[in-house]
Amino acid sequence: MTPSPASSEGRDTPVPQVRTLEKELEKGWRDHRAGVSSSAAMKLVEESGDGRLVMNFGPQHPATHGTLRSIFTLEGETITEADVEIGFLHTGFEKLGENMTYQQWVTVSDRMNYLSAINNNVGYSVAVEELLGIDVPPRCASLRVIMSELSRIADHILCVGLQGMDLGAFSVMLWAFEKRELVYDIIEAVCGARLTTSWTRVGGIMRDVPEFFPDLVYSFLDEFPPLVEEIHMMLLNNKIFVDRVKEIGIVSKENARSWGLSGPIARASGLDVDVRRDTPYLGYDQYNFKVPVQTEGDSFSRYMQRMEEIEQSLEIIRQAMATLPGGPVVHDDFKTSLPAKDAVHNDMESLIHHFKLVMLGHGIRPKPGSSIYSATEAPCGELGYFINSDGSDTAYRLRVRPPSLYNYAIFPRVVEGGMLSDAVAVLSSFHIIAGELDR
Amino acid sequence: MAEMYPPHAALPADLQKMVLDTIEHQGQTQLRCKVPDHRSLLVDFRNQQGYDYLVDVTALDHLGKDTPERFEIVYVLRRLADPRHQFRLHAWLSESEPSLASVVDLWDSARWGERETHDMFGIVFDGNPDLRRLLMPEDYPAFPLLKDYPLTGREERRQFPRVVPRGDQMVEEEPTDYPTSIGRGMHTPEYDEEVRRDSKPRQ
Amino acid sequence: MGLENLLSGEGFLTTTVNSIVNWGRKNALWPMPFGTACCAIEMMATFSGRYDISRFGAEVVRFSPRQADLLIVSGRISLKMMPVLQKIYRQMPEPKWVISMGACASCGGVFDTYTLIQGVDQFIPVDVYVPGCPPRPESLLDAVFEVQKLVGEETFDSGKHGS
Repeated sequence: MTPSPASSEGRDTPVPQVRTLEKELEKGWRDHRAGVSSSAAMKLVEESGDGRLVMNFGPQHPATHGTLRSIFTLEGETITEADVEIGFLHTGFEKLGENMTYQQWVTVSDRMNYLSAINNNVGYSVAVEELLGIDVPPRCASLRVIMSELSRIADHILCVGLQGMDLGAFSVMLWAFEKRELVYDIIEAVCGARLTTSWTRVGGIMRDVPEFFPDLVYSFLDEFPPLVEEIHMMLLNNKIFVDRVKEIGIVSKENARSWGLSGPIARASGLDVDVRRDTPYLGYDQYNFKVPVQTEGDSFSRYMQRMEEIEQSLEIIRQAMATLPGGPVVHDDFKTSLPAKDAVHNDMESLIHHFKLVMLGHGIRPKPGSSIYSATEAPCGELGYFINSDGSDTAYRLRVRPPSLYNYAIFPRVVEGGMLSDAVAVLSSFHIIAGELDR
Repeated sequence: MAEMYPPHAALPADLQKMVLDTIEHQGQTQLRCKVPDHRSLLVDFRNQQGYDYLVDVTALDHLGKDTPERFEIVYVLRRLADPRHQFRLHAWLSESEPSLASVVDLWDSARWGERETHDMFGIVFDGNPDLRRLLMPEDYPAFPLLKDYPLTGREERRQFPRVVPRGDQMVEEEPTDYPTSIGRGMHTPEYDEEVRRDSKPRQ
Repeated sequence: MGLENLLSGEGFLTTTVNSIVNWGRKNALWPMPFGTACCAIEMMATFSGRYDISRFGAEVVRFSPRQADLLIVSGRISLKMMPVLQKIYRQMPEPKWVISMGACASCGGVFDTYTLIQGVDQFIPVDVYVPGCPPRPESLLDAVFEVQKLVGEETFDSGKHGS
């Protein structure tokens, strides 16, 4: 099996061969230092005759959110051609899914979108539960919803903060991080860890929330909303910010549909998709929330979209806290869920159930040959899991459909024809998370 | 979750024959076909039936199992006007000729979906204008998600020099011999001599 | 070559100049955050308001390796990223220190896979390791204190020339 080489068929301009160009440029630099005149970069300039420059917007850069590499062909400040290279954070999560049991992989899932780890955990557990055909108790569903929305707020506020920082409004980022620490306090009280939570299990969650959980959430709901107003006041009255994001990086609705965009980016372009509303899971259909949609599709509408979604998330949290039921938090079938620890220590049957679930070779075994595609709404878009099982305790294929992958595919098209500084503004508004993109 | 309803019922008769079987599991529909037929089915789904959103493209490798072919390409399709109309099309692809027609002209999201499937499995999509590797380095010698490729790889991750300052220069040496851990079979590796790490500055 | 060669030995003048130079260096470390994954977010939290690293002098975060002296490798380093890391490390002028933050940078962490470097110390020299997945901001601050201690022990003939 030989892979085909990078093919330029069907394209007007050849695919920039990234690595060879780099070697040529390096050789050219050495030649230049040794006094030999024509280097590759100079050759490019001479041959084209119009001063075009190939610039690397490398994986290590303060304005690339994560390890994203762009190669721009510049003519002055205008980008004539753009190409992206990803994979600098590829870790092999999908291959790990074939070697880890279903319960174990949840720890891996929160390293994907590390800004909102709970959404990844919830998405994965929902997928495995759908594969097995089990339901979680209502309290568990409500708690998962509350924590997911808190995590979504944390993600969106960070995106807005970084968007501000990239365009020079550094205070916005510091304020965003300060209020994000409030979310971290809640997450730490509930899950034990600030960032990589691994909170959900197949059939439930790790453990029930502490008694002071309502106080935490209600004080958060009091302290957080003023920040939204402050950020609006800071940024919307700032002509520089508004001019730098308005009508920059326009993604049309048709392109959003065709390129498979989802999440705030798609909704900012007018595409009305939201997995929570379209195919509800975890009881989202009982909450009354709006799905805001903008029309222009530029970076400004992506900013407004995220701020409006934060407000809708706060609304969902209020409703979920008001209707939080009591009861168990784990599905009560011991073929999938671990029994309570004191039962394990005291009761023979629970011990056997525990043993069978934890030991390798036993554990959760879905029907052989079954597959499922299950999607949830992560802050970046539609996070989908395609799980195929062969009847053993590890998945046969665990495919993660990352929203950032399909969101980022359109990025070169969007920045072509724009200016270099607009590329920074567009990239920060796209909110690509490299961990999820590369897995 | 997506509800049960038959996407293949609206296909014309000659395309209905291409659908080998349908599987319903937990309310999700899955159609199966073989590889050259997938293109006509997808064209029909896109143009006649209005499945305008390609959610994902991926593949499965059934090495050593009793399946018609080794590879199974999965397309997840959705109709935006009614998002509950979502189903998957699985196409069997043989190992001896792992190439199939691309659907880039129908949905642009297939560009990177197919690119990643190529990167991970080595499957060639004819007609994709930009079929380079996406996540792995360009000159990586293997396709990682194939079942005969081990999880820890074949030592590609140690093929870098060790960069140390020595005196005036930055010198490249052999990498340190690091005892790597082992995957599922968790055991403690044996060391020849005690591995010591201290926090003194390097000399 | 330099003044340090004239001031060799452990004379009174040398050690005083030494301690002043070290005091200045350690209280004004300029970190270069090489943040890739989840640890980068905790590193950003360390640089932000609540766990303020600028209390300890490391405020000036320089994203250019030419202007930094403390490289904080935070996050998992994959095959593709390793040459980039080595290039950045080479571009930093002496004296420089490296903090390997998090389990993935120190030893590969949770991920023993085909594409992840099982510890950056195989390929670049590391001074301080910070365990955790991700380490709390306080742990990173503790690592900065360790580096400051290391800086305080430097002498002119310890090989970190370029003073």
